[in-house]
Amino acid sequence: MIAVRGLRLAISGQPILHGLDFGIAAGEVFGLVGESGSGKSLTALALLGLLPEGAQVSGRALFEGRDLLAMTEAELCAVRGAGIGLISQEPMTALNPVMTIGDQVAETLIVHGAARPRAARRIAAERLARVGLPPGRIDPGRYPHELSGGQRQRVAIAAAIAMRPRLLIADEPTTALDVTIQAQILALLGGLVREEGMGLLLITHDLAVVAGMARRIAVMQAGRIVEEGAAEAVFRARRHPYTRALIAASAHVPARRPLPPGEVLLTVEGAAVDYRLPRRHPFARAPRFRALDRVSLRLRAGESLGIVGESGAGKSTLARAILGLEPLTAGAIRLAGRPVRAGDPRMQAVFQDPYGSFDPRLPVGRSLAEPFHALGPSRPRDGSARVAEALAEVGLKPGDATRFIHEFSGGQRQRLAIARALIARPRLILLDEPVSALDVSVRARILDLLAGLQARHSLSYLFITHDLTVVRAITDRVAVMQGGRIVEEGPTAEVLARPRHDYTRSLVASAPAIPGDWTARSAHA
Amino acid sequence: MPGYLASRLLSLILSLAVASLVIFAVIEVIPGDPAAFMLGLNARPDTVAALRAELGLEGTRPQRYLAWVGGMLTGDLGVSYTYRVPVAKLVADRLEVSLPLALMALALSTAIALPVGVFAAARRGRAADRLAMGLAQIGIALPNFWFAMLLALVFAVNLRWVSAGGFPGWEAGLLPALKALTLPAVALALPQAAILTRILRSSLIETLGQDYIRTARARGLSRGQALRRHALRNALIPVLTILGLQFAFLIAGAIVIERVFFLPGLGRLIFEGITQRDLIVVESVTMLLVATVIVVNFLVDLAYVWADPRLRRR
Repeated sequence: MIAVRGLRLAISGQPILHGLDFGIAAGEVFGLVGESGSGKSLTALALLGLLPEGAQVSGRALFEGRDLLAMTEAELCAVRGAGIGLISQEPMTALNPVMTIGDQVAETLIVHGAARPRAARRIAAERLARVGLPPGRIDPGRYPHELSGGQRQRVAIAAAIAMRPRLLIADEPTTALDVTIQAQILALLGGLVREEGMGLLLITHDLAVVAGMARRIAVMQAGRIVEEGAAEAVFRARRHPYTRALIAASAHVPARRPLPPGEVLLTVEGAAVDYRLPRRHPFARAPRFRALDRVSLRLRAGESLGIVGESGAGKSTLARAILGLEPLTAGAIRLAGRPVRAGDPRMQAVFQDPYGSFDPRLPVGRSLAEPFHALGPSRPRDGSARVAEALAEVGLKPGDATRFIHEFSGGQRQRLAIARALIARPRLILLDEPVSALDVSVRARILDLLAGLQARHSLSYLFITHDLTVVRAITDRVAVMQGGRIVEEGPTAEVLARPRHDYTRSLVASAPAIPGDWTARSAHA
Repeated sequence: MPGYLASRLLSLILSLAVASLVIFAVIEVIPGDPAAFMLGLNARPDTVAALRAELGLEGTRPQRYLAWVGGMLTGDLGVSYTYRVPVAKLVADRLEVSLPLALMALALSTAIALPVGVFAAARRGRAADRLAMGLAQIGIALPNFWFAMLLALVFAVNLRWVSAGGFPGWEAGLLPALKALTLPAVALALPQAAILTRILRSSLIETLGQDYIRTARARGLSRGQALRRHALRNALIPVLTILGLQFAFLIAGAIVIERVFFLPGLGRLIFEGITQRDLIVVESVTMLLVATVIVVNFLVDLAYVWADPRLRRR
């Protein structure tokens, strides 16, 4: 149905795509996998003629016999939305905030002249019902901000399929969603492909997602397709070294020896946090929302505890409470016997986005030395030596201290954030989604680094994440949170293999996985 | 939505109360006796006493404040000392000129800024955009009285389409009155339109970079459709803020233009009140202008709710 031949792209003279060849048949799911910067998303935009200014494209992209790359703007407008639909990554920003969801779906039909407004709204309601938002439950007259992330992605899908396009391009459609929602959206996309006979170009960095969805996959690296074939064959054969590295990294488990249990370092007893909500009217008492509901847990020296749960489960509130940044409504949190306080050097944190936590105008060495200020008079005299030592610990060079944060890659920035946490010689490091924004190969190396540091300094880790593969790779015990409570806790392997709570069970079942026998070591091809 | 409305209404009432207290206090702390100040050095004591009574300077401060506020609420703004007519009547006469003038200028500046701003944003970086922005820069830099004199020179002196100044009054008929207000309205509108154009353009350009615009384009909307149907309303929110501020300025700040065209407007009334030391006029008209600004801001808040459904949740 679509055949791409020799697709090349350069933006402002900088070559991005170096001649891509692939084809997708009707009713087929085609997975395009690669790391950030490989050119996956730009491939999708090139097909739709939505590239940024200064882009030069060459090659051919025959869609139902007509070359998309040779079309005029008016011809492309007629194809976009009608022949080819696009679903993008960010459901939170992909919808117009001041337009009702029903109108946004109906608009696709109206601009293509497929229906008059009244009929378009009726069809829109049908399409919304098809993606799981029946008018009885979610009124088409509602606005995007009144919906959850998963619901918004369903609206975006309804708008993309309103004209029943023959090809659907989904660019990281579930990356921003929780794992159970991801499973539902993937099931919805799979159902649409089967029922409507659409072709689906599924663009993702997540090998497990394509393994479960795609019939054929192409692996992209630096603007080239390095390997292409039937999904199972690509996973089993792994002809190209990059494919091998990618598959190995995604299943990477750092070598860890569980340490002998040390003394209890952190105790959380019946901790509760309430947030005030906006008042209904000026004289009303502000209603309260219980974000953390009587949570108790213990962490021993040298131990890693994973905290998993979906957005809104209270993970980040718990993290802030442990760091002493959130006053408790009830309960107590103690570090080595004493109540936690903000700025305690024995406790450090590493967050998902290290770029935002470094001052862009300071050399990183200055930012790294910042925890020393919390030490007050006991600040070490050998400050710069300690900075150099910390940089060496995380695999960077002492000379990097004089560089600025924007000069580092994503993985290096996360190493810097870890160095900053180490510099005060803490006993507990709180890691909030530290590898979620990283490509799989970088993620594997950061996990190795964390495992090594833990063994060397008998650090305790509190690992907050929504990603079960990370939990499996690096934690000894795991606590599952839902609605502000811990619903299940135990040794990681046991909880993930035999979940007892319904919620944990659905979490484990929803996590996409590459079938075990596809990646078995015995596969020689 | 009811919560948002109630909180805006409460803030409206509080602002009015605070403003009235401040204006009252300022008149109170002016050293010396206002009556003696108004009458000058050679006034006879009995004249001063009579004026004191007339000004409502008898009684305690709270009594006087309440009498003043109560008077304003019932439409009694006192009697002007210099004009010897009720201030309410003076203000009403002047508003007959100032209000239509402000509305005309506002409508005109919006009518210029909306298409030019949209046009410039849609052609960002190209010659048309640069030309529009260059003109806007000139419009902001040049004072409005310069435009006023230029317009008077061209259209009144040379072409003789309209008279160079004065206001015949609405009794003279709708057309002559509107004709007299046209040049001043254009002079007032041009710099405002220049500011508004720039705000609208930059707001639109920011909105056009949003994800939902790309989504809309991917659904088959042309560049222009995406701009009209999706970007414009989202870009309007900062524009509304500026519109509110401009209207408040136009009501009272047209004094220079009023002088150029010899218009009996509100700005001139305040100016004359100050030069003639007519504190009754100054106090009441100041309060009235402050109230206008506050009420216009309240209306802008309501317009936000129309433009942005996310505010309706609260």
